[in-house]
Amino acid sequence: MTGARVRLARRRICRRPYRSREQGSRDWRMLPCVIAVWSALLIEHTAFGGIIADSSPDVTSVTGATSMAWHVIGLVLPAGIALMAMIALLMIVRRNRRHCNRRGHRNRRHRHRRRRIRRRFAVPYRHGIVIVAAMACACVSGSADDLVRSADPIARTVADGGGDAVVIGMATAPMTTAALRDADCQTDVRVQGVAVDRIRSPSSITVRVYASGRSCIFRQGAVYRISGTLRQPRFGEASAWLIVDDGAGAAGPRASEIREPAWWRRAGTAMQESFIRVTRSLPDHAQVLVPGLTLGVLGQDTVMTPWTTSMRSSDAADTYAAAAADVDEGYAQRLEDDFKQAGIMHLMAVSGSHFVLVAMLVRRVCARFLIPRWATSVGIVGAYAMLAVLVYPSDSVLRAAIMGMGGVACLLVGRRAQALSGLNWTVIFTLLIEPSMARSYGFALSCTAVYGLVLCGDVVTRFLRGFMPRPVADTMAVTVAAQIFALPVQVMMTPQLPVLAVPANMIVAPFVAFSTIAGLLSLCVSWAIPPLGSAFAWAACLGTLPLERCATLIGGSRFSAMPWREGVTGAVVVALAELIVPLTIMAVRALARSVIHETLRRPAHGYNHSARDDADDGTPYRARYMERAGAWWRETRAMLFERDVGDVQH
Amino acid sequence: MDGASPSVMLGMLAGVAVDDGGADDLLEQRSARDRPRLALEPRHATIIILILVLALSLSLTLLVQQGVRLSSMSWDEGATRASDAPSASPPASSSSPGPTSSESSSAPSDTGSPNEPSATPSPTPTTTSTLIDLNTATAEQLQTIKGIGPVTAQRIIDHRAEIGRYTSVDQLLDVTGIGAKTLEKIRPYVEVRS
Repeated sequence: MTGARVRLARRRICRRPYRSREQGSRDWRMLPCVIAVWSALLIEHTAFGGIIADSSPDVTSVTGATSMAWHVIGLVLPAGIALMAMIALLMIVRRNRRHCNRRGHRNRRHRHRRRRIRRRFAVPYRHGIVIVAAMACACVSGSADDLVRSADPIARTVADGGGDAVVIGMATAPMTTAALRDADCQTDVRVQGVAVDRIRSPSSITVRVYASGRSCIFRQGAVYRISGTLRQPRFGEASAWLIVDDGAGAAGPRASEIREPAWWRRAGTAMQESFIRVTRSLPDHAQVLVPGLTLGVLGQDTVMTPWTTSMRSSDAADTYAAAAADVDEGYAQRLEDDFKQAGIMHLMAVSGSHFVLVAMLVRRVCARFLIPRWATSVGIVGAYAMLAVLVYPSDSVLRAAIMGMGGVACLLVGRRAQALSGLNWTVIFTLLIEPSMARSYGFALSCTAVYGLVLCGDVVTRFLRGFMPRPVADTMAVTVAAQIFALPVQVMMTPQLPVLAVPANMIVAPFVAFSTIAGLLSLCVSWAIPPLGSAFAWAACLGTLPLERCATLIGGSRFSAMPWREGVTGAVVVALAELIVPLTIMAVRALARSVIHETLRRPAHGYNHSARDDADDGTPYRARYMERAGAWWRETRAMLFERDVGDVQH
Repeated sequence: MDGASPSVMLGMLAGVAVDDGGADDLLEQRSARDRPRLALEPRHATIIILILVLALSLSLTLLVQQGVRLSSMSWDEGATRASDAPSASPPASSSSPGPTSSESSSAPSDTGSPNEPSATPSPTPTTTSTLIDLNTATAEQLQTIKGIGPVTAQRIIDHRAEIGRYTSVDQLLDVTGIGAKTLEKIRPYVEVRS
């Protein structure tokens, strides 16, 4: 009888319309849009690749395929817009007709049922319209981007088999050590114009430049004229490679700077380089890890530009310039491999945690001095801008910066920021404005990690708090929740399962925030007061020692990574496995609960139920493992360490 | 009173205002909203569609903005290549009417590079070269080059009238007011079309 009443109450709650059960603080409205936009971009890119590949592989017909694609887009696009307009019109017309038809029907019950059906389908209908609009916008944006890329002269030259070219473009990334064996440095250049066979044409894609020797003069933000050889990339996400040789021959310098970077960019580069110089005086592991934790680039990958080295070499008494020795290559490579095996390599990339730390710092300082809200938000915007300029650029930095700006906007207006809502809009805007981000692994990893944290963090925390002490449960919940959606993407990148990633992350979690803050402080002061910067860098070095130990221990062991299937199939298998585990847990718990209820209820048949009717609403209290363990510990402690016999409670 | 259960009694006593529903109502209020928000209002849907279209138009605008003035980029090597001055015509010579320019002009209007209309102030509406021809330029066209003012432009035209026509860019050295440095500065923008 009691069970029936509980079931009736639950059914009453469930029968309430969904709209009145919605919580405003969990805003999931744009989530279907995000999924629609991202999948539409991926499908469009695959389809575009298919269209281009279907046409004959002859070079001259790349233009033919491009014009054919233009015709397809030219037909599909207006048709799509017309379809959308029609559907919107239908939606409006139907609503008006519903108002007008109130008197025209004979059968009132029939009319009520139709109205109820129409109302029940109105909400998914509207949502469907928005999803269709989002997919259409994504398709248009993606196809326009793909078309421009495929019609680019550099893309055509590369498809031709490569060739010599003179490229004018802006360096968008600082110089780092080259991944190619026969080059010294690499950078990314956003091309403005290219001259192939003395034919000059505008261009807009980003090429990866590999240079060596005296041609390694690239500064972030400067415009260069580079002459080299265009090649098809063998790996990586760039659309073309430009190989620049040494320039030691009679041909003269192969890369020359046309325009200086902006003043803030120059200042940022100078601050980065003085920080890296400071870290060169630390022990080996800190030379590699402290720049990684702070700037997002490992110590052995940094390359100094000639400007700061020439500035420094004139100052012979400057010990920091003299100590700028190179990092031990072999050791650094082994350490990097250990980090990847252990599954903690994500710490070496700048992510939202940097921005969150900086924002928290600024907020605390402003709260201490009772600074008004608008000034705090201006301060946070300034701090974000500085951070974005100082760290090495990457897609996860872009995501974190945009999301952070959204949060600052909420602070300015005075509303509470919602992480999921901000993330949804960040992803939608980024993907619509830059459709190639849909295929970027850095962006995907960053977004999926935050989605996992936001969507599943609470559930996992509640579940784990039943088994282990609160701080341990919270740390583990963060790790597990972040990995939930990011693991399939990671498996697509490297076909390996990081089995020991969760314990590794839990071991290093307490030290990361402290090291990051110390590193950022060192970055801020090293250009002005090198000894103070060195002191902060030593603090960061102490924080990175546990990281190094953990990576060597866990990453070096044989069980740290399990080989897995490659590609999309591997990712799908991982996703299915992740789905099955919580379902199994829930099924086992439900089974156990029903068994226990059955065994408990059997002796209770003779009771008078009427007196206990209303007392049985809600779920019965069940002590969790942690609570039972805590009670046992308290009693044991009282029993063993009692001071007075009267203290023990029986 | 016997039939009423304890929780109903408590509910009758627990309210503050006249229309308080009691403990049950309070409990239901607390646990009533437990689902994430997924439904869209019509006006919200319209606003979202407008925002999406705005983002799309921003993206297409950024795509279109590739048309930087090709001629204003420094294609030449500069002073270090002075020894190749006689053969400086290769980089300064006209870009041949390659399929690229026709390709970019045949592309639909929104991605057609605005390089075409903003190309060069040369009188001939040709897409072949973006450099100023010394033999047919007017003073206004010469003055658009950075480094040539009204006086120098007039002097160039006067010198052209003297010698008939220019056969090489280096003949600009004969013009008073143009030295080697100035010549190197303006060399990327001028040519002699024979």
